[in-house]
Amino acid sequence: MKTRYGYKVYPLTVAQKFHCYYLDFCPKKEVVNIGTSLTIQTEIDFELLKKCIYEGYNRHECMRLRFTKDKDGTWYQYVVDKEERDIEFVDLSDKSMEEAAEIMEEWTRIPFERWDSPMNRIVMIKTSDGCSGVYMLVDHLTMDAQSLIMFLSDVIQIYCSYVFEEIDYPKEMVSYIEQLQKDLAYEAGSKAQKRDEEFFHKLIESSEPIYNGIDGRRKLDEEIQRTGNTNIRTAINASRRVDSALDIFHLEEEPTTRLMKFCEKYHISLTCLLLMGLYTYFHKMNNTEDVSVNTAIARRATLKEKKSGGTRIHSFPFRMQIPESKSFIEGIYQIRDLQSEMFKHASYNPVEYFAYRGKLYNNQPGHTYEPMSLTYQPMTLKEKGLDRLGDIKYKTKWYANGATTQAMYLTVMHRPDDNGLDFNFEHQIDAVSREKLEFMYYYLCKIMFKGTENPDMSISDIIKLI
Amino acid sequence: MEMFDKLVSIICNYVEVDPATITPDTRFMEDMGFTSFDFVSMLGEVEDEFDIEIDQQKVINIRTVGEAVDYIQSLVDEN
Repeated sequence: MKTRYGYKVYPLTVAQKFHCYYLDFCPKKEVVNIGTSLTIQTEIDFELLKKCIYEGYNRHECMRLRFTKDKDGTWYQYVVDKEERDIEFVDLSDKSMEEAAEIMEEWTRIPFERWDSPMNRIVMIKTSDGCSGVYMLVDHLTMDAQSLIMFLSDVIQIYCSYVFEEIDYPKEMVSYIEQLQKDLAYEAGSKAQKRDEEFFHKLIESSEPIYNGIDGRRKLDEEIQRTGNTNIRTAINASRRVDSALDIFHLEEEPTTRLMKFCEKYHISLTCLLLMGLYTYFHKMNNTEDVSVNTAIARRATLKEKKSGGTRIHSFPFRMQIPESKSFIEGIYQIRDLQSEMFKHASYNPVEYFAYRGKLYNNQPGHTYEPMSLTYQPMTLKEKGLDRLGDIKYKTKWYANGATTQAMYLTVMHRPDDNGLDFNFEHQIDAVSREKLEFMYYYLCKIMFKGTENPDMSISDIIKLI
Repeated sequence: MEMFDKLVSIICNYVEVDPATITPDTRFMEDMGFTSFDFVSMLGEVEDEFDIEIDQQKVINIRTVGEAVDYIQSLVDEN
């Protein structure tokens, strides 16, 4: 297939194929939906907002992305010239805030028509707290959280540039297709791809990881008992039912500031600190110095990558083997060094990673070494346009799509209104309970604060103290 | 072009910053908003641009543009 309705078609990138990988077997296709709302405590000119949203559609090619497939079932993508749907308006001001949130959550649970159809929905809303704004739903194959934030902030900046004289119209965005072609060129057997493959093969071949559970070795022991194989190192972590819940725990501004100051002082990212916290937690619960979790790499370094939209995240297992005699800060440095190495090779295909590892260690279907995934989302709307609103209050909210193929996915984000941290645990209802998450969150925080207050203390001593 | 100017030009591919405001004392993360991923990716471009191999352990403590210029210059001189 070369064109569709006159538009040139392109193959999917590996970042998109990664979503197809679990979309294929997940019975709930809304698993790839991302829903969010942004409301502002001021009167909004909805006609003007609608005009700004259309301008946003024109500026962001990924918002006009469509999918199609050929006779063999191979997926392709293309970008249409124009968005011609009407932008909906829904007045939710006669509903309580809880009812309004439930309605938007319901919207988030409606899967998109996959073929030759728009992969996003924008609704202008008015809520009973006197705020107005937009609800936005996108398909994860077309956008990730960072490009979604980029789009919303762009629309706001366009709106502000029409309303406030002192605010300039935002600079041009970068072509999604242009960036896509670069990615496809890499994937078509480049030298860089070969280098990245060698790196990951070597990493995988070093030795077999081991599964650690959120509440200890129970699942691994069950697997050993079931198979009679005492050498087994994987377990079934996820449940058959994919129904999920989102539980959010809030860390206040002051303790968040302490963590951020620690990161600044030691020149490390918050992801490294979070990984060290998780390593220590799983070490404590499973009594092992070998812990793996999945981590997401946003892969947006250059301005072109940051402004081209689309979905770019690659998720890889991150294995931490840190002797407990090492100090907390030494552990963080070890994590930082491995993370830097992985960053250099992050364009590698994660699906190939899992396929290669699965074959090498003869993994059984549904078995894993990683009990959870971690994403740190540093970008907030505050720094991307909303700072221009001055004292006008605004609210953002993310909505659960109600399905996940993983037992537990932790996304840590900054709260734009007070700069605290939100720990968003999306989890399968049948796999992990809220009580277990509360327990884990409590210890994760305790470990991070004890460690940041005593960076030279050994990991074993920290475990004894918490 | 001086090493400093070349590096500034590369930096501007990664963050939205007015090149005129960058000095040797400008810090990558605190002043220009570099993430660790940005920084590692930029080093890849620096390696290609100057045909050098950067030692990850040695760049870990680099915080300012001036420190980066000195380190890159030392590798170029070695070559």
